[in-house]
Amino acid sequence: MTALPFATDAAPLFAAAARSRRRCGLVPAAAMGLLLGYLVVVPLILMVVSSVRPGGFPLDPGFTLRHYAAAYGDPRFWSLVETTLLFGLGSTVFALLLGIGLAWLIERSDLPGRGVLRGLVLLPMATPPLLLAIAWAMLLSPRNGAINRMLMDLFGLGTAPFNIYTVPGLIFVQGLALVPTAYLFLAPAFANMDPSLEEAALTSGAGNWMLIRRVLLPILRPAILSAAVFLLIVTLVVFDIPGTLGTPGRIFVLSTRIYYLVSDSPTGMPLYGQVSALAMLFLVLLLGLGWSYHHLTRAAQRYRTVTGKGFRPRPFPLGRGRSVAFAALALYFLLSVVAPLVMLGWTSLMPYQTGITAAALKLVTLANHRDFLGNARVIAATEHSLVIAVASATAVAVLSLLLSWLTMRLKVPGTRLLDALAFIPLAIPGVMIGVALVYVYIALNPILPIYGSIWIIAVAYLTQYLPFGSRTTNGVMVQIHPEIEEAALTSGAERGRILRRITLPLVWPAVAAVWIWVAAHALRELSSALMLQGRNNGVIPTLLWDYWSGGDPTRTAAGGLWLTVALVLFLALWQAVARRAGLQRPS
Amino acid sequence: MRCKRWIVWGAAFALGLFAAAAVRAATIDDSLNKLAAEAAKAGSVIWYESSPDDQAQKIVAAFNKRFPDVKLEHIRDTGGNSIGARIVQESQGGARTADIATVGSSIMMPLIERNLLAKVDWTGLGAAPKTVLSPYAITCTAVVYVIVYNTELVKEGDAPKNWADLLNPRWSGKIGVWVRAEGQGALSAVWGEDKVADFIKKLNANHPVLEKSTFPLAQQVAAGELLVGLGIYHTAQPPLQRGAPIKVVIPEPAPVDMLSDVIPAQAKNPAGGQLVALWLTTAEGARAYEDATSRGNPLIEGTKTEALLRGRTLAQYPPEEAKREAEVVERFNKLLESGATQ
Repeated sequence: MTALPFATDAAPLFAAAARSRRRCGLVPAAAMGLLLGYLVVVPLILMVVSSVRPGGFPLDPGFTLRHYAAAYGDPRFWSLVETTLLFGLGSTVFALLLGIGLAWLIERSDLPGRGVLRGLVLLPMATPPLLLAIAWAMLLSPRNGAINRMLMDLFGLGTAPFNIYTVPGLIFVQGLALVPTAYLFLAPAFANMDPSLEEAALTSGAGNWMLIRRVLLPILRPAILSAAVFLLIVTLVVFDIPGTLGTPGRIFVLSTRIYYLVSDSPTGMPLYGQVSALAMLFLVLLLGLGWSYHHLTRAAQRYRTVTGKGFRPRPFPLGRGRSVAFAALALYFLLSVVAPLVMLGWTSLMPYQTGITAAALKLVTLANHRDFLGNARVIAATEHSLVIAVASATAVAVLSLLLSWLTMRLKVPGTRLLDALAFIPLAIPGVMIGVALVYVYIALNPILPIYGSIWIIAVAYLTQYLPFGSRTTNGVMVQIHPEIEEAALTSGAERGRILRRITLPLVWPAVAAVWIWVAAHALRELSSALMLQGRNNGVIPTLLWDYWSGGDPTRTAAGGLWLTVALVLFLALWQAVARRAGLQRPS
Repeated sequence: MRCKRWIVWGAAFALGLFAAAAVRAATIDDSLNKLAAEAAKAGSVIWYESSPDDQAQKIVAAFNKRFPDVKLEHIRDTGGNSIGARIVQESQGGARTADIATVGSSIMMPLIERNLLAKVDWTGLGAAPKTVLSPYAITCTAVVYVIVYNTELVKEGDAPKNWADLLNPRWSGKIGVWVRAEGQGALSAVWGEDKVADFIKKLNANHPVLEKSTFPLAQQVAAGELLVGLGIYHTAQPPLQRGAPIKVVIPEPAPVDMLSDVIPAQAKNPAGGQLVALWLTTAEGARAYEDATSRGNPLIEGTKTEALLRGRTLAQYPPEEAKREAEVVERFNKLLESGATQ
């Protein structure tokens, strides 16, 4: 669309550059292939093997297809699929709509204080989903929810107006939890949009609706589709929110079924065979969605908005709409941050879980906070959590950038395979990644003794979060016209220097987004950390789980609150460092 | 004359009992000392168990008071099926696994089938025969299923006292049950499968709220979100100990799941594992465990759990029927999930 037409006499030069590019990329591509093989193919193979082992453990003897028969022949299966799709699609659409709105307001409008808003919009990531679900249950339970009771008292209602234990309730909470992810997917794409396109459309007489439909949405299509595919798969496999809010109302989805097969099956052993068989459905779905994504965005040049021509994003003047925008943002923060945190704060001050009432005020105590902060294990767990978060976030960010560069820029042979490999872990349930890592690192223990250490958890997160990283950097890389790098190449710049001096600064917002997303998720991720827990690798989420599963929700709330505070400080520090290094656009 | 003879016989019998107990005490003490000496040389003892770390550290402290030279390391596994899975994977991969694990029959039996547990002559070590389930297992503690209710919202006279009371329509939509029908499964050992299935269907007519775990179930009753719950004794203790307005009622019959200590075949410090398991069956060890976790061994005299369950009909499956029990629980789980009333 806005790509500069190539000068006819320069075309042979660019063609030679492209050939050289592919040759140079062969060695790093092979290295990347090996690394992805290790990180992704090994768990994948073990999962497939597990699905055909009679005992369900990959090293068990024998062959069977009965796990497939049991998983897909269950009379409840199709009902589970239906509910799962409803929940997944609803949550995805909800998160996408809010994410698009927020990304546009923060990245493209003239809203003041956008630096602060960028940090605030990520805040919900700080609350572990389990605690978010508990907080919303306490707010919107039809029996005793604080908001329901307030509305019933206020308007004299006979029944509670809201019921969180319904599919719309689940969609609402899951959607809210996913908004920061949607925002991080979309913000770099919004930030990289060349305003001249909008100006051209407006001066040609296009109205706002036509501008959105004919210009903005087509340009943003790769980022939106990327986010949609990612969010949809995530919603199909997440457990915390549907597990906590769905179970009381008998709303079961595929992830709750997987949890049942792993933890609750009365057979005494996790039914890994059936879990793996069910995961094949996710895999097929993911590959199908991945293929659709490629099909829909195959004409990559149509989405290039960052070209050799310089531009400075022009903020859209909100005018009188500014107050409406602020009100909308305030409502979002109220629902996603303030309301759950108030409930967590209240619970953390109680000796046992109880609703917000005047009578309960006499129970207020700081004992939970004292206990949490005075617990010697908190220091070690915090240290472990930070090391794992920084290591896995850095590894995912670097790997994603290199992967996108190899697959989208150098277009080395096997590009599609590399890209697919980076996306596949999304379909492998965290528990199966854990199972695979246990075997791999027990086998490697004599040469790489990380079984039971914090590093095995970091490796698990690297595998789990690579799909987010690679999708995000791909979404931005597709917007950058190769002419800029080609111009540098024909001017004699080395490839590494081009990556460092040209490509990296352009994709920096996306790389930074990947880093902070992975770090935040690594700080709160539970299932893999539990699975890989050893003698001395406890992290903050396993500590909180220890409280929660030991019947101590009030101390869990206190810990969750401090985790949120720590993450806020972490985000603030990250923003300050990024700004000082000149790596973030001024707001 | 006859009376005198009875007195002599009685005294002899009592003396015999006392002597047997003394011999057993001597044997168990000897065994503990021998095992402790052996365990100390073999390094640390790894214990897989499901109690939260804070509770487990109290047991470790009591153990170390008695055996200061043996390093006991507790690794909390979250219960469910993960302890068994971890032992299987570590054993298959040849990695260091637990020296002792505390598990239910449903986990123990698959481990026995996979030849992953070691046989131990527990009675030879001095353990009371009633605590020995098999050469593979010695009892450690019990999960006791109970009724929990909110004392502020339910009057004493209206409170449910037995199974039938839970079917009262007054609890409709305000009664919580664990999504896993383990308690109902154990109950069927006394009532029979069909009677319990019928009970669950009638309970479903009361629209019970399903909870992922009995810990939050007790908290929900404490918070007034639910009036009544079918929970577990020890998971109701945290809110109870913090002054929450809840009360626990033990129904008749009382469903119980016994948890046992097992020694993995590939344990690096089997003597250490046996030491911990054996110590937990002594009055000292059993009390330390119960004081820390609120769940005790009903087979050890002097524990609160033994006093709590004394004279009651306990509903439980023998370990060798673990597979049968699993099938029954699976059937009941489906019934609960479906909400079927017919």
